[in-house]
Amino acid sequence: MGDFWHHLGLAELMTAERILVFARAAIILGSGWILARLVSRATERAFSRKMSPQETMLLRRLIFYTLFGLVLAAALHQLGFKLGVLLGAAGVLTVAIGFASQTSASNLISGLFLVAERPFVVGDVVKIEDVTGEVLSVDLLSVKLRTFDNLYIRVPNESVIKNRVTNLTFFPLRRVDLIVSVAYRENLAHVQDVLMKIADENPLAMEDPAPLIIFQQFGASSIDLQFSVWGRRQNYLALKNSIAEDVKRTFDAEDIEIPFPHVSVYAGSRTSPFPVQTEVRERRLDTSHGETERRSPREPAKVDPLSAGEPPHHEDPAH
Amino acid sequence: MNDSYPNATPESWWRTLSVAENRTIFFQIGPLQGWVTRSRLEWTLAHRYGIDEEEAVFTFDDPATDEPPEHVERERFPFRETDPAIHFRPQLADLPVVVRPDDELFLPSGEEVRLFVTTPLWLVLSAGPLKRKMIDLPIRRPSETWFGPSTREGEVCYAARSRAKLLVTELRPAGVRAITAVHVRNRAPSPFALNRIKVPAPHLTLHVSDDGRLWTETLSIERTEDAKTVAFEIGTGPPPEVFQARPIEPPRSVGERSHLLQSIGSFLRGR
Repeated sequence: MGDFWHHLGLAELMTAERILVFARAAIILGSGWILARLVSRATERAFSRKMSPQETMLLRRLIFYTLFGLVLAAALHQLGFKLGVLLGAAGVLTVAIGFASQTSASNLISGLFLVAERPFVVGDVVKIEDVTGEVLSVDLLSVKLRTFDNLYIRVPNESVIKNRVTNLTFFPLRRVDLIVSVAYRENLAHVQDVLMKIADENPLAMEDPAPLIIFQQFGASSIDLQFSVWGRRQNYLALKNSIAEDVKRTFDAEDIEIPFPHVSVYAGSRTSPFPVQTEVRERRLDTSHGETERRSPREPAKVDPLSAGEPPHHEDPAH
Repeated sequence: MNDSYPNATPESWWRTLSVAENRTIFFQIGPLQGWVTRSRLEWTLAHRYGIDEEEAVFTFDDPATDEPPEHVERERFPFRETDPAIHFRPQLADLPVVVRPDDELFLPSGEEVRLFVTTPLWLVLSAGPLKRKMIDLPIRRPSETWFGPSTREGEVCYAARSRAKLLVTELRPAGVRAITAVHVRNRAPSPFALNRIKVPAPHLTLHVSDDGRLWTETLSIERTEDAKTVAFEIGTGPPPEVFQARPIEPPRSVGERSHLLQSIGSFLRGR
């Protein structure tokens, strides 16, 4: 056995003095780790009231890694490593690692900017690119979201910094915008009165900021108005649904027409209206092949009242 | 049944009723209609909002002539054993109420007036000798409004319209609204627009006067000479000419008045 250690050259290494050095380094490392943990936790607790959860988390990690780095350096020094040489080697290594972990580094730096800028905090509902969800955590490399259909989405910090982020819960109030279309024959002043009354009677619609009615356009089949009401952001969906329901119900009661697209077809100014002919589908029971349908296009059952009494005719559109 | 409440008059709708087991009673207070059913182990409450009539009306039918309709909201409250007593109590709103006078009011420079504004009431239903609270509903569903300098800062309040009368004699008889006397003084050289007055309802005590009207403490608002700040104060009770006003319900929020006073500057919003 002794030959074996001698052969490996470890016998000299494992002298009592060396073991003592290793033990000292291990004690420094162990107690340092505990100390770093205690100090970082205590700092987190001390600042938890003044700072947001993500800031305290970052502060805790920063303190822990700084202290642990110092402890590690002390332990290595105890073992006889020369820190200057180590740092030099680490510098070279950093360049190599930097090239290899460009994406991570970019995310890391973006994460620091995110923490400093604070466009949103944990619990906010945000829209990043085409994803909308509640922010679960803002970490150094990514932002974690929970979508409303309960999916867990990890968005790299770099894309949060690069893309447009919409925070849906930043302000206490939100505005619901509805496009309301009414027929051309309607009296717009009356329509506006009716819309204002709808907003007034909906308990979720705020009285102040006052509801807005903005003329949009003379559309193809309707006059389009934008009807905007304000509500608490928590009530956004309930308000959106209830106000649309109120508009439909009140318009029906007030006999205000919500038109659908109308298309008038002309064959030319000199022509009479197109005759319209409908087809009748006759059903007969075929004993051998079950129920089948038979079309009889040459047997008009109903003639358009405009051309009633006249034989169906076709005009050349070129005339 | 109404004896347990001070200053109760025939116009007072707050009362304690005794409901026999397996019986349904019907009540209507303002537009709020409700059906209360007592069984051995639970109370069942159903309510809806009917036509909103300005005049105060209330009825209690024991037993109810009709069963509650199918589509109304229903809630069940289980108990170890139900007691026949059910208490109908008034309460002030659970959020501040922003009162907008029907017509715009401008208080000229140097003038001092007292306005009477009214705010909507809530119905609190509680059961048994321990008055276990079951529901806390607005008698008339109020709209929400925002009270603050911008859409970014401010607070959610209820909106209420009021005729803002200047004389007690012009007020309507007891009803489903609480009356607040607001003492306004304008020391500034320009007219003071009283477009919106915020009544801090959750911090006020509900009082009942000898004629059965419900009152809150008097509010005092003073616009300073530089027209930049508005001093605000909650008085100790209803105005002195309200006879024998006795407290009937304590404030919903207590101990937060200091916070309330910090927001003096934003108490009134005018032009």
